[in-house]
Amino acid sequence: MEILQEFWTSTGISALTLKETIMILIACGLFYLAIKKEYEPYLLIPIGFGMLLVNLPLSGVMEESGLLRIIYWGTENGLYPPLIFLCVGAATDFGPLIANPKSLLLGAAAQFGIFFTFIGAILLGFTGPEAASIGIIGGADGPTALFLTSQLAPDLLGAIAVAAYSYMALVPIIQPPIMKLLTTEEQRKIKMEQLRPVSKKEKVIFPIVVTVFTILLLPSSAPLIGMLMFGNLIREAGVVPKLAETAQNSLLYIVTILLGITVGAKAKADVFLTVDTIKIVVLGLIAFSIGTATGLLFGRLMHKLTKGKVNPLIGAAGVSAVPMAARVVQKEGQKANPSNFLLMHAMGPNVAGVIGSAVAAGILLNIFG
Amino acid sequence: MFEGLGEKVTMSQALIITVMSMGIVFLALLAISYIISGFEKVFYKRDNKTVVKKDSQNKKVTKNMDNEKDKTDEDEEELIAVIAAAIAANLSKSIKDIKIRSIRRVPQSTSIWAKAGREEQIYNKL
Repeated sequence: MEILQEFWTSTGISALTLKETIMILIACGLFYLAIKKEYEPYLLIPIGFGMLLVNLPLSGVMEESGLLRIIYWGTENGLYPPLIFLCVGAATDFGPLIANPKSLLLGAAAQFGIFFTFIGAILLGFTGPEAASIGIIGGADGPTALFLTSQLAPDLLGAIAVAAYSYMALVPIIQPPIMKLLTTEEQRKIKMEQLRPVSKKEKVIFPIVVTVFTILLLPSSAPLIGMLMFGNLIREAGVVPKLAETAQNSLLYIVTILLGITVGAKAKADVFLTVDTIKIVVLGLIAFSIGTATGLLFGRLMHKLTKGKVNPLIGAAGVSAVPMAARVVQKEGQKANPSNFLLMHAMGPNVAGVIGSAVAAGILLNIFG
Repeated sequence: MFEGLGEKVTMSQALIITVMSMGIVFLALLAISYIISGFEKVFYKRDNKTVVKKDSQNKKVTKNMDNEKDKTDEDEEELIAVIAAAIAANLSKSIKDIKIRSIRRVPQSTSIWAKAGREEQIYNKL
């Protein structure tokens, strides 16, 4: 009888609390979104599973020398997000940006969402570093958000990751109403001039110049910008195709697994199921919407300054979320004018948004780190 | 200025941070944008533009030309026939009424993204 009782207390079932049960259900909800709805499945499945594992009681995976705790070292010390940036750089064609350098300004304008939300978070009583981490959701760039949060407010990692990646998956739902609200049908119909071809030389020199300039200006952006541009150089150099291929594929997926599962593992019931999480989710949505809106408004400004040559829709792609936001722009442009091809034009602000949010993250790290 | 700024951030500090940070983001990207604009001047020469001349009055279509050493491993006659047919169809004229003087291969200039966009568009229509 005693043995039975001992066995019972050693099982997780006896230790399972209500909060943990809720977290298990949330994890299952993420699986549903990822598998059935195919929302960012590459991220939500590892995140969901990490969440599931850590909330099964007595598993000890996140305790000292627990399995996930060991893997988490790389998240905690800011190793995985820059590695993801390397892979993103290796997969990104900065050609559209080089062909139309003005689109960098759209990438900058869309970062306003970050700081608007930062103020909002301060008003809601978050500390400075926490508010900065919440604001960065508006950068719409997963690795940047995780990098900054892991450095400034690691306890919020679970909530911020879930908010950031959910909203990135929801870009096709969040952005179109804002686009319709802030642009006129006529503006959406505008066709843009074809971009000039970009030579290989320019593409090779671009990452080097951006690295030197940005890091000289803002040394704290080195991990993100440095890795992003390193990955891009590997790609454009053309002499190390194996490295580029590894970064675009195997390395990206390996790091995604490690990052995803440990970020999920930070969503332990007692940290995650708080009012703060709800606040973060709401603030994240605001950050996204404001970023989209300021991008669009700046697009309208450029539309005016260029006397109607710029379709303001491309401003919405200034929130990173590569390449989803650019695709949404393409879709909306095409809805207004079926012969409109904005994808290439939107890719410029889109990749500029990645650089912009990395710079913003560098600034926030500088202030609060 | 922000030394030791940690737990408590007042509203005015938050506003200063916002204005200052947005300023830096803009300046940084503006500067990069200027640097890249310089690229265009240094590296990009507009001489490789191909011109497609059309002389519709004489009902002749000239696809512009430069007798590049043709890669002859393709069936050229077949290629010429296809191009002639395409031009005729496009102009809604009979092949007899048009004269093709020469054909030059134009290097691929569309980027992968534009191509992907077009393909996606086509698949959506299917």
